Amino acid sequence: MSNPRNKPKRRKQGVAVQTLADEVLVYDLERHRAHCLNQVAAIVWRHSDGKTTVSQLARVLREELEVPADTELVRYAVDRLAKAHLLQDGSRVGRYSRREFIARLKKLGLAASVALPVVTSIVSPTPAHALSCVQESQCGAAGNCVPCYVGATNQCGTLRCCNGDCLPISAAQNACGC
Amino acid sequence: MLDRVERFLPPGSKPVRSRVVDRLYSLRVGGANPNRNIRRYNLLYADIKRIGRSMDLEETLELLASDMQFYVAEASPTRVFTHAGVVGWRGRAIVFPGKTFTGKTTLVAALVKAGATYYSDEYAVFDPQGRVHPYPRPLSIRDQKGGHFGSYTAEELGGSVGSKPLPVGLVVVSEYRPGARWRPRALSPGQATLALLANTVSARVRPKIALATLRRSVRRVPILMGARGEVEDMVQTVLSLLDEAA
Repeated sequence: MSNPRNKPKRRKQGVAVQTLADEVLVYDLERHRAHCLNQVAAIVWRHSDGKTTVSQLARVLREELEVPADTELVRYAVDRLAKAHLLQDGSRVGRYSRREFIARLKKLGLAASVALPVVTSIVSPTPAHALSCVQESQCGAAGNCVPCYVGATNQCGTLRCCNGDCLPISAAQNACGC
Repeated sequence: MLDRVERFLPPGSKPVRSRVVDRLYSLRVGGANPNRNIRRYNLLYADIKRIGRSMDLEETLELLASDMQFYVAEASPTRVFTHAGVVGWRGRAIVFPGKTFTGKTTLVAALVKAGATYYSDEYAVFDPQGRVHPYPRPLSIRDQKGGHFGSYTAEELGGSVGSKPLPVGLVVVSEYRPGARWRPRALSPGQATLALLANTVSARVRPKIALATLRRSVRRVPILMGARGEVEDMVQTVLSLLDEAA
């Protein structure tokens, strides 16, 4: 019986998926993180059904991208996908450093821009995060700020309002830019 | 008082006949009491929660405006509000998503002075087709220290305000850095969607709608990212880029 860790399975629950021409956007509804999978990562993720082995995934990559993909490339992609919580538990097949992997691609004569699986991630903003934030801000009782707004008196005392909290100025500058 | 409040309503507001509302604002105007030697606060409530208390009525009205804009942006069921500056140029929109203090308003003001149509310095309002609608509140321009504001209409800057929804023609993700030279790199549509999502008010509330709408808006559109220096160096380049892409 084959090792199930050799057959990655993508998450289907708790994610919203949008497909673009070469990329896939995945929104993790549980962690509120959004991910953009480049072409290589997207192909691996799409075919990770819990039945297809790593070597079969490498073959799929070779056919779809016409690059000399091997199991190490797939394992690297699986590692990135698992790190982003886009695979079901137990799917992680190894740990790879990006730098080592790019060096390996160069040895094989492959451009990293073509063959490197990339998962770009952001933390989805809270509503208040996506607002204009200014030095002057309005809070009710301490720790109960309403979203920052233009021109109001700062009732956070010596603190600043950021994402609904009264924060020290340096922390507010880092988090809200205000 | 209602006449005074009207100027603080979100752009595009209009009266409705319904007696049922999604959110009820109450403003209790304070001020000096001639019979007693006391002053009363101006109090502002959203539904049953007090959201503001100030001796300055103008300040209270600004809070009202801010909270209303925020509520509309978060609660809109079909439109997606992304924190961005927007101008129109030859039938297409240029969108500058970004957080506060990244210089969006400065860039928008410079483009309006250069002949672009003003759409917004606060929100890019996307409809389900991915088009951008005008949200023309007065431009809120900060001074050099970033603390004080002046409000200017597009007309005061020598420009005009857009009225029709536009398809997106160019997305520029940039941040002001003193002395920087603008040498942007192209982003993929997926990465551009993430850049817009990172500034979208309803990203957590309605992520599926936000993602689908933003994806549609940046399809087949050049998307550029990079730090910029002074705005004068960038304006003509941005407009030329959109002309080339058209």
